[in-house]
Amino acid sequence: MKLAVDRITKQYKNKIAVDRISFSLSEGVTGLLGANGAGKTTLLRMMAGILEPTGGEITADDIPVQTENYRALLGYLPQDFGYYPEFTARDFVRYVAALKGIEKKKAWKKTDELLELVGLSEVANKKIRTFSGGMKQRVGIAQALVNDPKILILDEPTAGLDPKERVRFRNLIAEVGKNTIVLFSTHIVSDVEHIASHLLMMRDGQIIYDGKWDESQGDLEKFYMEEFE
Amino acid sequence: MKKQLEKLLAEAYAAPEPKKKQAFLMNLKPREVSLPEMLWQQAAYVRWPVWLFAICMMAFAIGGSILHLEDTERIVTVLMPFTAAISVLETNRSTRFGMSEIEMATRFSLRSVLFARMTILGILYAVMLCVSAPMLAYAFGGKLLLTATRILIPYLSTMILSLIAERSALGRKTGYSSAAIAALISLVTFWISQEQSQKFMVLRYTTLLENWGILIVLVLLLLTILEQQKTIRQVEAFA
Repeated sequence: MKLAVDRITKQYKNKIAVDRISFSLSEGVTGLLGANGAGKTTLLRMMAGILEPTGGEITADDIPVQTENYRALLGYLPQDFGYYPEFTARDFVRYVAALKGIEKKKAWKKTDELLELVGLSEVANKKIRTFSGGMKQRVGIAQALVNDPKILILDEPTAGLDPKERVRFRNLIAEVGKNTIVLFSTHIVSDVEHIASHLLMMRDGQIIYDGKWDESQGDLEKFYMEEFE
Repeated sequence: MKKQLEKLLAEAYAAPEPKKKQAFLMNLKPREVSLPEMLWQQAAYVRWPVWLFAICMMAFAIGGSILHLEDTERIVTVLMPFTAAISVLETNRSTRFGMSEIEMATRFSLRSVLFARMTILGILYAVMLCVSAPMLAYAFGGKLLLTATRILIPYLSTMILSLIAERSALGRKTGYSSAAIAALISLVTFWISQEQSQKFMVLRYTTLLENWGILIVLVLLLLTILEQQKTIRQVEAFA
């Protein structure tokens, strides 16, 4: 599968948040690095089909972003998300599964598998409002994976995770990335440097680096710090 | 014997690990989901207090009609704005609880989810009206259309104002503007239903409803549909 972003632009009055960005992605983990305010979230929202671009187009194997068929391929974890107060972790994942049109029996099985995978099976029936930030984030990751997405968009998914959870999460994403296009946004280089086969760097709404990174090119963290200072 | 043989065979020849299971699952086409199925699915996520309030209202209208309890009709009309407010609050839950972004990125989009919720609640209150209005009219010797318009006007007025308020910046900030509007319309409905209030009015409320009730309801219904459409259209611009 090929996810193509072609001259995508988002303008708010006199501010250009994303400026004619083009790139294409295939299966594997792509790290999207950039400082806060670089335009990462705006770009990801457009790629998730929830924000209309001012110009340009996004397609997955020629399926346009604004269609139901595109959304059927998608898993999305927003940077900030809420939950209905009465929801348990299990309810939350099952609810998203229902919205993704997954058959009830399959959805229930998949929910339990994913809660096990993210280490929440023992608290699956507890209300999310009692969870820590890291636990909430893990519920968010589970809901994003419930439809076995072909495109997985993760906006700052490691925010709120402790170091141990971070490592566990990276391993999980590396595994998912074998069959899926994963776009992983972060401003922490170590989150992506070992698992991303492809890197995008954003600054002021533009892509300043698009490609692979290997050790012969030097220290990624150093490069990143130089670019964003 | 056969069972034992089956057990021995199962032990001797364990099924191999499925190859490329994940890749196979991902290539399956998503199944079609019909509108009735989606409505049914969303109905399961309408909170129980919403169902309970509607059932209690209906039970009160039926019970009051059977027992000829005085003021049953007035109490029903005074409470109608709260059913409208509950309905609007239920519809706007995604935005209020920060679920909208996740819901928008699912297969059906938030617009479809909102449409489904509005349809479910619309059906619920239509059933409530269809049961309550004839019962009340029959029990208290009123005209069916007059009773129905009396119930519908406060409901639809609250619906329109609440939808407008919930879309406004202030409404989204405060979160419970619908409840305030319901309380206000409820008070006005109560005041209008009092005999003393009629001397302040150019035309008696009952006379007004007898002459213009159907037209007023139709206009309010049209405005409600327009406001619901605006809410559905605007919701994805919040992202």
